[in-house]
Amino acid sequence: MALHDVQSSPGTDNRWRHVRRLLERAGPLGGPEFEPDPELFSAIRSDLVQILVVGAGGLGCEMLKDLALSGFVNLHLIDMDTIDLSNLNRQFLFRPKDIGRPKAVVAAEFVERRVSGCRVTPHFGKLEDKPLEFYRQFMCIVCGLDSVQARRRLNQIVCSLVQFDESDQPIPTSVIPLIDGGTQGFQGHCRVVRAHATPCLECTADLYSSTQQGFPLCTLAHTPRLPEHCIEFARIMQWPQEWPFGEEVPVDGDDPHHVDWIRTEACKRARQFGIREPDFRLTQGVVKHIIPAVASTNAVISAQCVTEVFKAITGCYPLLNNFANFSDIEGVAVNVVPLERNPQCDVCGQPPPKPLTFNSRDSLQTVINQLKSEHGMTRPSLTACVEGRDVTLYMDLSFLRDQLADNLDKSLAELGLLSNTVLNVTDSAQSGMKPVTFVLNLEDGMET
Amino acid sequence: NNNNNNKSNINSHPVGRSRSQLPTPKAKKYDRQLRLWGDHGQQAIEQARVLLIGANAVGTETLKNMVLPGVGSFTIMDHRRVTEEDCGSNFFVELARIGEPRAKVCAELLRELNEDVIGDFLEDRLDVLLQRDPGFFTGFSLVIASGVRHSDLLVLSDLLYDRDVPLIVCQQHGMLATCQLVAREHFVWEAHPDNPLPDLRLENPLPEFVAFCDAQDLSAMDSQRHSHTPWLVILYKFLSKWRQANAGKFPSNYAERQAVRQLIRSGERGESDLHGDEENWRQAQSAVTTALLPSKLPSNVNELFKLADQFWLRRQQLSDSSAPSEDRQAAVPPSNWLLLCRTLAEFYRQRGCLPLCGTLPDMVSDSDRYVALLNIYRRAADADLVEFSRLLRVVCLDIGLSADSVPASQIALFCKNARHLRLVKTASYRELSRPLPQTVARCLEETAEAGPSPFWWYLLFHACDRFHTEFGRFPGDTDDVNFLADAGQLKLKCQQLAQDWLASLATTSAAGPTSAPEDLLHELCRFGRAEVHSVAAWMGGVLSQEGIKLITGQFVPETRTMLYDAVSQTFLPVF
Repeated sequence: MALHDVQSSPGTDNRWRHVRRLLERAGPLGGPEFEPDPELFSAIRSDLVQILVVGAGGLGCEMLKDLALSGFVNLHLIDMDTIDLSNLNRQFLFRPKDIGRPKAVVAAEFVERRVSGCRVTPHFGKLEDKPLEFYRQFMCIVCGLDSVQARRRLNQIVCSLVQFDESDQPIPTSVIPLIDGGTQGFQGHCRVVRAHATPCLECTADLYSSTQQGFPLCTLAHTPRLPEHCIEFARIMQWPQEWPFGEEVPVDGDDPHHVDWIRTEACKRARQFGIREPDFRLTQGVVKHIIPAVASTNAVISAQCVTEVFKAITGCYPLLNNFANFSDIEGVAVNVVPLERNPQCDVCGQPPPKPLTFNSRDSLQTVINQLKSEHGMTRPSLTACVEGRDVTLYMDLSFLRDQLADNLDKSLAELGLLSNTVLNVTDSAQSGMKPVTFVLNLEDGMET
Repeated sequence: NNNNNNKSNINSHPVGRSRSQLPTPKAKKYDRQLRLWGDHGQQAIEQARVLLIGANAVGTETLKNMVLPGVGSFTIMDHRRVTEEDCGSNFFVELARIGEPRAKVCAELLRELNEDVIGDFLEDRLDVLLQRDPGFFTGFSLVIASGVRHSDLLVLSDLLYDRDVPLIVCQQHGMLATCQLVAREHFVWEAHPDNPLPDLRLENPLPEFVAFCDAQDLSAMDSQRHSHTPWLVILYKFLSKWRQANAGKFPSNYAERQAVRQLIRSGERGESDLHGDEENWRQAQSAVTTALLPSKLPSNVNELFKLADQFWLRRQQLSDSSAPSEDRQAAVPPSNWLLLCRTLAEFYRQRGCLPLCGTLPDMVSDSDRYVALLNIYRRAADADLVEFSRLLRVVCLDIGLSADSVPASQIALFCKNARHLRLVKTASYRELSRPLPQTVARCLEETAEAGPSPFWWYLLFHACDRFHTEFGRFPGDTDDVNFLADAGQLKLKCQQLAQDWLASLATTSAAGPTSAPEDLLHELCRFGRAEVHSVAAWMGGVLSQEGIKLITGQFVPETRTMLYDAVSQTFLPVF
């Protein structure tokens, strides 16, 4: 369907009545600074309001639908996976014919078709494929990820976008609200992260328990008790000895023949020890660390997240403060907890970047000299974001020194560094040191 | 009567099984949910027939989350046509289809979510069909009424309540939504409690278990054997020691359990060698808190015994009396769960305990001893199951039913979950929507202190319904800039309603105001019955799982009248 100007599209007046009631009418329970305005609705549909959905799976599909039906029109969706049959019980934007296609692409197509006027730009890839600058364009980021690592990566990205003023306070427009949703079976959570105001995802890293079922190796090898032990023994120990599908061919949990081989071996071992023999479902569950999932929980958590996105962008109601738990195993329980920041947090507990003042004609060597003389570094290594890409400027490590030596004599301007460029610096002489961030201040300077 | 309790085909070909053990395409598709409710739960879902009345945002979102997991079939009833407004809140309509019957469009777009599901629609008005063909409604396993007006709900619920067809009622106004399950009787077969206590029977230990433990000599074990002795054996040995020294009594309080724990600690070796980590001894000590609790009959099970006994007593009275058999109750055979509960009561009377669950938690141990323990408990559970089944046959024959009235797998499921069984019930919608005056008075008093509460919103929702009955639209549902003008009438309706509800109270309670605070009146008018999609989607998620609980008899449903407030992100009981 051709994308026409959403302002003049037929039916806009009545179609979005539901949302416009919240934006155009005053209400006593609204946010403290909220002022209803007939322009608010077109404002949330302007190019200024771009929203990123991270993950196009069980949560992502729901979030996309909910955002589209909240009136937002500039949506981006990033996901690195393709569609699998086992997704179809809850990832409702996909059909059997879509199996094998990228999730982000298919989801975008479906929502653009169903909710006309909504533009969804799919990105088939990983979070790291995008430079930092990509993320800066969004007014809000909402994520439905199933991995702790991806969450932490996203959290780092959002936190590193924060800029600080002269008194080291975060500049509000640089703080992108991050709304995080997660589910597991009949339980889930929704939380709101505003870097430096609320805890970031790293502050509470221990909340996200790993799904790894690490059994002690001696149990697997000598004293198995459970069917799971037999399965893991077959996967971890027998497989690399027998290479049943070819030398060095690793276990593919999605290949039923691989899983069945493991199951057969596990059953043999189980019989040997008098243990209950595992079936296919248990075997695959252990091999793939499968987390059970249903449509209902994903619907709840995503909806809650998108309600918060709407609040964050329009200010029509106060935001969730700041973590909500959900479970509907016994009755239905929702619990809101205000989590606290961790002052020692690796990500948001860092002091704001220190300014480094130079002239754009100064050489990189000059910068390095200052890092050594005034900031206690011995062998500093620097990276920066240049023209949308993360670039290594210099690394003081024996095998890289020569390759990047040319950069030392280049001026900052030649290297493409502008004012407000953030430099990440580590010191090779201090192992285990966390990167220190600096921000470039060029006196004659062009700015990013 | 289509509820799951009388399923006789629970043994028939489960969705996951195939000769090669490799999963079928259907098992693959549903894999992630099968791990939650099992093949038998899936079967119940696939045999369910769901009726949705009201193809609005909440209604279609609820149905979506039942179509995706494979509900057998659905029917949508809605007399309205798709409007522009629908296209801004409902995912299962399209701009191109404005003007078409809403039930038809939604049915098509919902059905295409899952090719396994059958769906159809009706354009009839609810009130008309309720008069013309009430039998239509009682053929469903579950009815969902979304945004249906109060007067129709009364008739609908009266119809469904006595036929044991569960009803889910919901209403949305803007950022708020209420819901209520209405079910005369719902049996929970599998509650799936989060952290169930293990069923160890240490108070009256299994003879085979005693023999097994007595044959173990802890002091004679080498360190490998010592550090791989299952904690259950360790605990039993020291428990016995304590009991011998205390005239055979079982620890009955915290201090006594701690004494046992101390005894266990004294048996630790604590040397560090290759196998020196005595984690099993630490496990034995921590197990003291849960494994030594005196066993008592759970209250939920006791309730079931009373119900079963009452039913049987009544049956007996009716057959003894010379009353004519007009009373259909006596002639209707009891549900399977009642038969099973009656048997359970009998089992308990004879044996002084419930059938053994038969499973054990995992624990540090060598393979042979853990497996031996598992087998001991499993054999004892099997023996209890055989005994239970024998008693059940007697119960069935006794009231003229066939001895095989209940399938073996259902008997096994029942016994395995014996401690967590419960019957869940609510009053009819007629009663629920007219709260007791005492309840109303209490709520009004509470809110006078605490400020806006779910109760006020609930009262206002009903007031809105009355407003709609009189004026043909909801308060604030107008393009008029002066939408707040409706607040006055809404306030009147609210006061009238509160007075109605308080009417029978002897004392005129001046304790609390009978009108909702101005703020809330204003906010409701502001909403004008808007269907904010994310709020509808939230409710749709919750209600769909409540529906699945009712269909499968697994997990415990929420039976209170609840209010979701997306502003504060709370979900609270109204009363």
